[in-house]
Amino acid sequence: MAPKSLVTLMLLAGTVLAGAARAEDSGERRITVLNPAVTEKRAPRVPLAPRAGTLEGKTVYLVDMNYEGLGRTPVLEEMERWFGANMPGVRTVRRLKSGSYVSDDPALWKEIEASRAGGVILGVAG
Amino acid sequence: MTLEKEYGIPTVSLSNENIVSFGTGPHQEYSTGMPLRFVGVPYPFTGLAADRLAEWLQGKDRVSGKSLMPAIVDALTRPLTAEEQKSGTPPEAAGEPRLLPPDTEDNLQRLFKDRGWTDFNPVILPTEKRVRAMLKGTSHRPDELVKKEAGTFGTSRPFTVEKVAVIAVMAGAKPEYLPVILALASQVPYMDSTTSNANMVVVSGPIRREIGMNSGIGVLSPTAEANSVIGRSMNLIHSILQGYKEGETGFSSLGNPLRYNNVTLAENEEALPEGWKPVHVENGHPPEASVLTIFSGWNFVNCSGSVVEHYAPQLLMRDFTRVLAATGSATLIMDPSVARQLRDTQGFASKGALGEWLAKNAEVPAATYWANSITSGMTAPLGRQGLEPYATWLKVPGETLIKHLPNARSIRTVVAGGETASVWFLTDFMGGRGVSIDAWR
Repeated sequence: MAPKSLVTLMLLAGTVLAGAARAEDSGERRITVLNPAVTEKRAPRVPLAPRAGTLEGKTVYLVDMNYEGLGRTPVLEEMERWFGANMPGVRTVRRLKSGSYVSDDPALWKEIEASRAGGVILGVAG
Repeated sequence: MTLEKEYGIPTVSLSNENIVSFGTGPHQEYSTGMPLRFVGVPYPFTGLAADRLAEWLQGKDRVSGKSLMPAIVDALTRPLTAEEQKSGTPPEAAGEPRLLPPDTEDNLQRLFKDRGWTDFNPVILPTEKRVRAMLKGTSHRPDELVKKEAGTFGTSRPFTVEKVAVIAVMAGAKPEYLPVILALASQVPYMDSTTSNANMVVVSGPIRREIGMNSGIGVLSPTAEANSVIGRSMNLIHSILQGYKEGETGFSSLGNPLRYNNVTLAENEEALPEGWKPVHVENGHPPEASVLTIFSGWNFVNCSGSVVEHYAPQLLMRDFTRVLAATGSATLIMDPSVARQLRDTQGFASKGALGEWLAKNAEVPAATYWANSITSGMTAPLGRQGLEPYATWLKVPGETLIKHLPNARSIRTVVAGGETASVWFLTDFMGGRGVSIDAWR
């Protein structure tokens, strides 16, 4: 190694060491730590059911998911009135889902499928 | 989702405007995989009169900003976008590196807070040296999988023994606490609710003494390192490993102050009256086993003063059950002096005997029982299907007293405290069966 390069290297090393010492003095020492985070796996994508573009002449089910459990469906009753007044060409059927709001109701889903319903309004959570 | 996926029926979900972001965000990405169409409705709507509801339907969808009913019709009829027609496995997210880029302690503390990896108190930074030392607290390999379905709703968030050791370091644990924290981590996802629920962690068996857990005086206060640190670990596990974050993956409106330490305690097994068995033994574990049991619920009621001579403790306990969430469960946390009084002066030969007495004597008006949304949402549908006693409770007049804790086995007792006052807490906590800590040594 050429003497000039050696001097440069020594000067640089001195600078780095001095810098490190200053960093430690001021609490600026860099440390390496383990990452606590985990990677969440994305769910496979599932497409929505195709839309027909209109509800005219179709049946819409209004399904109360029974969030309060007591079988009252005032919101859906009001929606039914809205359809009657604003979209008279839509037939509405109001249903209370059986079981609690976290349980499935395959019998109702099958009824809706058999009716060739144009759509389902499901609610209300919260 | 079932209607769309399995029956091919266009569906629109009406949801509280404040939680729609969960359905269209993390729940879609990690759980359903389906870009469900939501309409956000104003909150609250419960109890609104018909004319107010009609007015409410003239309002806006809080998601799209369109008028509510046209937005609903639109969600059922608008052709699908390319995004909504996608199927198959999405590209994997970039994996988290094992090590973070080197940085100063101040910057790393800030990073940990910014990433939601803390309880907003400073953490002990998990250097390799500290994590290596922590791993000496277990015989399990660092790369051993602890749990895969760890996310809320059971989504896939696999984590290893090393990740739990990292969290144990961050919480300030000693290596001898690690088997307890591993047992705790193995139980995710923890129960969460928008309605301010909380958890309680009870440690039973020999490890209580080995790691210096407090089961005596001041047991429910910050009086012992092990109790404090293990309770803190639960919060870090909840947020980092389970991925719970208020306003993003969880929506507890008021939250719950019990969550600061998750009521982490050891039972005072040595002070149990004759015939009263420790929590883990009642659950079928051998006395010499070390076991962790998680309890969950909503209510935590102080008896408000010491037991008095002129009104037996079980009578006040019975009276206090009226404020419980009516989940059918109750857990009492009582000082050993109360347990002894119940046994010696009231004749309760076991925890179970006290549970049976409360099951027969605790009553609440039917209207009060059904006024609780947790109860009405879960048990009223069972009653409507004819299941007793709920079917009868739905039919009786509101003022009729019903025995709302019908299952004695759902009434549990934990004995802890320092015998400086004959005090107790009543909770509605439901207790689990308990998991082995020894399996994680």
